[in-house]
Amino acid sequence: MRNEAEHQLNEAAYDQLSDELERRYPLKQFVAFGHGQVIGDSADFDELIGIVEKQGRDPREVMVVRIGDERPKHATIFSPLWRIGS
Amino acid sequence: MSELRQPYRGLPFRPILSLTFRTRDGVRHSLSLLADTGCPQDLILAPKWFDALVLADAEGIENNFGPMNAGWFRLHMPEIGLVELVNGFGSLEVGEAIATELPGVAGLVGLPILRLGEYGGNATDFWFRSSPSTPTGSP
Repeated sequence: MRNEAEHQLNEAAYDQLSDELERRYPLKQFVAFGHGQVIGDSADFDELIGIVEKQGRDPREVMVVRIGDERPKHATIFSPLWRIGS
Repeated sequence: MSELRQPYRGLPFRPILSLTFRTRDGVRHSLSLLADTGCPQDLILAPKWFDALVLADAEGIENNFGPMNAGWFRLHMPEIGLVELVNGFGSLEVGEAIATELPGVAGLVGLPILRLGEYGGNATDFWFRSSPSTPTGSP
């Protein structure tokens, strides 16, 4: 189960730092946030998860972003099935 | 080129794909998912499966079902040449909407994963073909 407070802290930090991160890291680099700060980075996702675990953190409570990925805040599902629930 | 082929399910017919994911500790789980080219998100799972398979937290998103948790998942089907890290989302609302019509279906797979290969259908079946020559990943 996700730690919502931790997630909000990390997402706010990413919003604030995203432009700087785009300048600092190469495209496709994975960057991890914990407690609202960058706590590690790697070009390899599994290596980054290992770094996070060595810090004694649960990766499921650490927010990982990939530099250069699109960041849509909203998306619409157009499939007719979803009109039932929308 | 390897192919996954499954008969449609439900009334009206819905296209279904069984995809396999790997957890951090190496356990593989195969899930039946509704194939939905109208979904711009890689993967949307019922919370039970989101929690069981998620590797790390990711930036959230909102869609016409409301806000969704996001995470990273390992699609792991080396037998058909499909091993990818994908972004997935968790939604109780989507999970319940699918389960109402298609019991046993764990969520949906959207266009970003389907376009990792080739997909199609006929009167009875839906299929997905992985292709080593197809560029992978999000644009």
